[in-house]
Amino acid sequence: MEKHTHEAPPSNPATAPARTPGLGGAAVSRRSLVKAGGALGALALAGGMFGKVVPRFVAKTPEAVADSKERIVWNHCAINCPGRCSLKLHVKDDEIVQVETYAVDDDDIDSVQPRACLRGRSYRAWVYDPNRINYPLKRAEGTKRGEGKFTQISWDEAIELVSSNLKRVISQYGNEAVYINYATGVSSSTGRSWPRLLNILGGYLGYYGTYSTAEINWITPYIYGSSGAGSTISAAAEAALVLVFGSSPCETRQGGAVSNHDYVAMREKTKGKVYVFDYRYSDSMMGHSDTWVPINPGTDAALVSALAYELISTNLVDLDFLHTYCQGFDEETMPESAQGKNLSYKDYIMGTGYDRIAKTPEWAEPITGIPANRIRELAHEIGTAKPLYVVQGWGSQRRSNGELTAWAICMLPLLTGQIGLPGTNNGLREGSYAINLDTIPAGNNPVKTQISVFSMVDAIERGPEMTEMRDGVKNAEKLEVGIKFVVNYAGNCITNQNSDINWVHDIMADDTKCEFVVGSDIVMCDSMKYCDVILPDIFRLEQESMIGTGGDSAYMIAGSRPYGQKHERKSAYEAISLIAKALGVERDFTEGKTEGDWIKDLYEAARSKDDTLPTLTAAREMGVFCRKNPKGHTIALEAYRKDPVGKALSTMSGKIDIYSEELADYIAAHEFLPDDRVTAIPTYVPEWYGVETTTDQYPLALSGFHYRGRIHSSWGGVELLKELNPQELWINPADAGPRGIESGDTVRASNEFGAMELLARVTPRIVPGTVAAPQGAWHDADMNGDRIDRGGNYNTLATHRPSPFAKGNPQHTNICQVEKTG
Amino acid sequence: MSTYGFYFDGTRCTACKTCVYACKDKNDLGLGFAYRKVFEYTGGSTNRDGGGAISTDCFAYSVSLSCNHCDDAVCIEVCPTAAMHRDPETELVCVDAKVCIGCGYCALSCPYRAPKVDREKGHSVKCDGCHHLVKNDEAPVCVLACPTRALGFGTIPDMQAKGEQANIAPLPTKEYTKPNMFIKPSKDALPAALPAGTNNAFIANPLEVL
Amino acid sequence: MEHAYAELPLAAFSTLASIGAGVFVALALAIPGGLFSSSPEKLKKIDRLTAIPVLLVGVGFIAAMFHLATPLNALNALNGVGRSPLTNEVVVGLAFMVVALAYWVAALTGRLGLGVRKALVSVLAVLAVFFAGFIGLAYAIPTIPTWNTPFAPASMLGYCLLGGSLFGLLILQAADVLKDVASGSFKVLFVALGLLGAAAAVIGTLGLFMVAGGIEAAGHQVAAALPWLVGSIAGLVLSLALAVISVVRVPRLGVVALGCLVVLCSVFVGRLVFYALYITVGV
Repeated sequence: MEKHTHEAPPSNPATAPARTPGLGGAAVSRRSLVKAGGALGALALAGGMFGKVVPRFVAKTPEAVADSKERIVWNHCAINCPGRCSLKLHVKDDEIVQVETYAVDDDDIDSVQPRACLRGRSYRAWVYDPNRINYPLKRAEGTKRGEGKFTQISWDEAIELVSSNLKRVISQYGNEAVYINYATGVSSSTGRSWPRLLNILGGYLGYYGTYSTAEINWITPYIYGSSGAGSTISAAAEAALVLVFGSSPCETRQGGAVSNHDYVAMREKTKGKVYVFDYRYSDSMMGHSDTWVPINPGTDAALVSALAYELISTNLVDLDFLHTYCQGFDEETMPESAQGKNLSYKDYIMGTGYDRIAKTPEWAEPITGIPANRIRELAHEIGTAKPLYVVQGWGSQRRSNGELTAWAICMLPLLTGQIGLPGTNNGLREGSYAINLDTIPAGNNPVKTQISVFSMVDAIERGPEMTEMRDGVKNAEKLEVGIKFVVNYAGNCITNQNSDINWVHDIMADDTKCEFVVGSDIVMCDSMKYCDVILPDIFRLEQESMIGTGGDSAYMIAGSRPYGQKHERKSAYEAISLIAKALGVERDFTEGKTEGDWIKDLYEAARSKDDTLPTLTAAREMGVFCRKNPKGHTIALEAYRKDPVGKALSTMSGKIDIYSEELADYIAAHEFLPDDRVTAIPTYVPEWYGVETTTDQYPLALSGFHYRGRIHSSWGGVELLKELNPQELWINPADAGPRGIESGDTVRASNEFGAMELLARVTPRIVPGTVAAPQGAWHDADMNGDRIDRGGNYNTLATHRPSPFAKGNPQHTNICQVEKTG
Repeated sequence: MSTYGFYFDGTRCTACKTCVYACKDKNDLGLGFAYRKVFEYTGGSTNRDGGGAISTDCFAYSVSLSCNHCDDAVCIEVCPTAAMHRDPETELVCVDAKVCIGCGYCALSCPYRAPKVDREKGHSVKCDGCHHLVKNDEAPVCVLACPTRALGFGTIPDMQAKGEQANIAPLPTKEYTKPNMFIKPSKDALPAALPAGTNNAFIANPLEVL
Repeated sequence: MEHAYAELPLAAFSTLASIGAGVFVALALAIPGGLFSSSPEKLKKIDRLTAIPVLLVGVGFIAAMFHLATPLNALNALNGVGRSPLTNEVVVGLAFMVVALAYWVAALTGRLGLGVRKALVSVLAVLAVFFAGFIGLAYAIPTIPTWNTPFAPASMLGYCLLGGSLFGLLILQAADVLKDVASGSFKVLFVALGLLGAAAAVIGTLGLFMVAGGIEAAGHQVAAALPWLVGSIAGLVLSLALAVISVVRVPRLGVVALGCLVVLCSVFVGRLVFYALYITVGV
């Protein structure tokens, strides 16, 4: 077998046109032409076909459309997005020649159609990407992690390296030294099997939280007692006023049956006004400039505080609701432990407690950028709107003040009692009505210790120094050992999606700290460069696969395999089975089942709980199964609103906590840094690096946002998508002008952590004083040279200091300077 | 003249470009070619005063545009070889690749940027309305790709019932070529005007349209 | 100027073809002064030097072929007579080329009679004017406001007459017949020809610029083209001066040759400006 040296792609890999092998250049008709009798015949045909008010182009059944040599195979997208949209693969000669999607032309915006987004339609460019990993790799002799130089090895050697190192680490350091890095590149019922293997082998150091939701998910149980889901977006159609914070529903989930569609449909139907609070006029507002309320990033809680001040001052708060359903709004509902100390929310807002500053609109104006009079107007609109639907995305919480900010946003519906009723939400991210399929059981993890999802590199660098009191270690006072073995399956979160890439690089490159990294991916992304062994994975759409999901409506996709094995790529399940075998636990891992058996059994288990689901055979034939929400909308906290005593929440108070006694106890029992300024009520805390803490050296706030050209970093190397979705830094003319920057110029953004270069987009669609870049761009820097990230990934400039409570990623909390370079 | 036209709902479009990529995938288009383009038209300003208060009259809206299969198609008029013609069955405007010399006149003359010369192929290429699909009672690929259902396609009378003939900026006024594109404009949409730019607005995404 | 760089072959074609064609106008002006009554040796020289305009136009056509993506299908370009401005230009250009080639080849054989010569050159002079005009009219496309004006054919006519006069002068001087034909009326007519050409060229180019300047969205394009415009007009004026000097005072081959070089460059730059200011009514 030939040994190939496989290098990670150089900067700006050669642009090869995305042509499917075996297909000619010109568009070829896929069926014989129907003869109509000349022009008149065509007209007659047309008239006969479209006799109705709207044309009916009925999607024909696959057999009628496809060539005899071409087959249709249904499958699903599986990347980090709850869309998981349908993919109608046209397969010919074992190659995918076109990717369509489930669609019906019926002029009914409510019909459930999980249409794939632009990335789904560009799968061929990714599946056939020249940088796909085709065989197992090992880090080349004499090279360091991060250099990206690899040698091809056999599967036997790869399995041997992985299993022997895993065995060694476990015996030398214990199972706590083994870690599965956070990764979200793959979703399906059998897609994530590493936890199962490691649990059989004695367990591994776990993590809590996600890079998407660390802060909001940490604080939610303190507010609502559980990890609360919000109402469906559809519920807002009945609202008199819709408020959206830190969310771009049309950019974060772009499929035809998730929030891109759901939000557009809701906006069309709702009679109420919609306000979107954002530092940027996102694509969710295209054509709807009347919905934009520009606000400085990281200051949502300041706005809420001022709105609360106004609502209280003008007697628009629903005191009845607050006293019945909530703890801590004012002294009347404080718990015994906190009574008589001016610790209520009202004390904070009115200035009779805490910092003793009244949170007036005048106070909020210079912080938020929203004029005081506008705040007063908004307060009046909010106070008199019934129903009021308040929703936040995950942008507001992904900051250094994220936990308290997420909580603060929930205050808006609480202050006016707009919870649990038709047309309302609980202030959290919208919920969904979904079909939930069982996933491969991971089993029990004997290792109970957990760290925050954001702390892997810390745990590698100084594991035993990390404590429960200060560093977010859970279920143990401290870590016993640092992380020595990392599994990085289907994720780019070692470097690319991780903060402070330069710092991460230095620690990961040192193989005396973390001793072994096994990675598995479909393409050589930046994080793969830090692996010692790489196993080539395959896309879910190249396998049998099943997934259930939903937005306002639910759907499920049963995917079939389009072709057999190509090169030496194997599915993750097969690869892990081989490792299990090498470690003598194959039977425990597989239970004698193939992945197909698992898919079948898991599906039958789901079906036994939900008898409206079709049989597996039927599911595979139809490919896509859709189901509307029988209730129409799902309303958060509906049951609690109807019966606050009988359906009491699992907070200690049994109510919604505006003052949380549990949190106060937590604060007392843990260590925090002074500028974290933690409180047991939702206060506004300035970000460590934000609009209130810019410096002369770094005068601009820097945020990120989700981008249509990628899902995080997935698809990030696909030239076809990069061509029409450039990596641009959004900058207001007020900041660009003095810097001599025009759209299309190359600019460098830099701060104490690093520097990146990308194109400038000078636009009024961003507030002055803040710049923003789409997240997920592929890191591209000479790590032995100037380390300037020419891929434009702002994680090179992001701090790795964790948020105070969740110890999560505050990735939008940054300041920088920007200058023109070319 | 034409039998069919496109419909575009500017109140639903979120500029995601799924339509662009669905078409690229179907037609095997590599770098440098896209038969559909999504323009972002932006104007106004967002300012901050000395006290930090932000004010804005910023607006931005998108227009998804392929070929409008115009009644007075200027590309057909100027084509020296008659390669640019109407498909006899559907009346959709198409290129006869065997006849075309790739002179680029269609590309120069079209005010919607529809045709483009592919030097590798040796001829002009553009949206052909997926006429092979339309002949078989199926919609063009872009239409059924749109996640927010912002595109439509059908007979002219049916499309006229849904929207107004393309007359919003940054498109030209409809008199030039009588485009068969019917638009439901968003609230932000400005009327078409020559010359573009008199609205204090501009095409803000030149790098994203081919 | 990106649009200009994309159309270099067309810029070359329109420069070379119009100037080359225009030579025959200059030659026709010399007929009354006895151009074709020269000695056989001088006639031979004139015929050999007539290679210059023939080559200019020929190379121009070859350059145009480089513009096509499929030059082998080039004859298909005749399909759009009447309808397509490009077809019309090709028809007129082909007609000119055929007559010019026929004339030149026949002349080289030495058996072309005086009367036929005069007739053919006169016909070519008229065809040249039409050809140049049609090159300009090829761009009369209703959706391109900067090109769809009388300024386009005007500037092409101007280039044809001014450039043609300079290269015509070159032939006359190189064949040593200039002093023979340069009677008073010839000088007047010739200067008038040059002046008319220069005026049409300058007005045509300035007019194009004014139209473009009135289009707000074209601000960047116009600003980028301005220095090139200035250079072109300056060059046109200079070449006119050189032409006039060479006719009115003692002609020197070097001066005329310089004038030819300057007019070639100035016209080429002027054409670059034309293509650079491509603006449609839409996107």
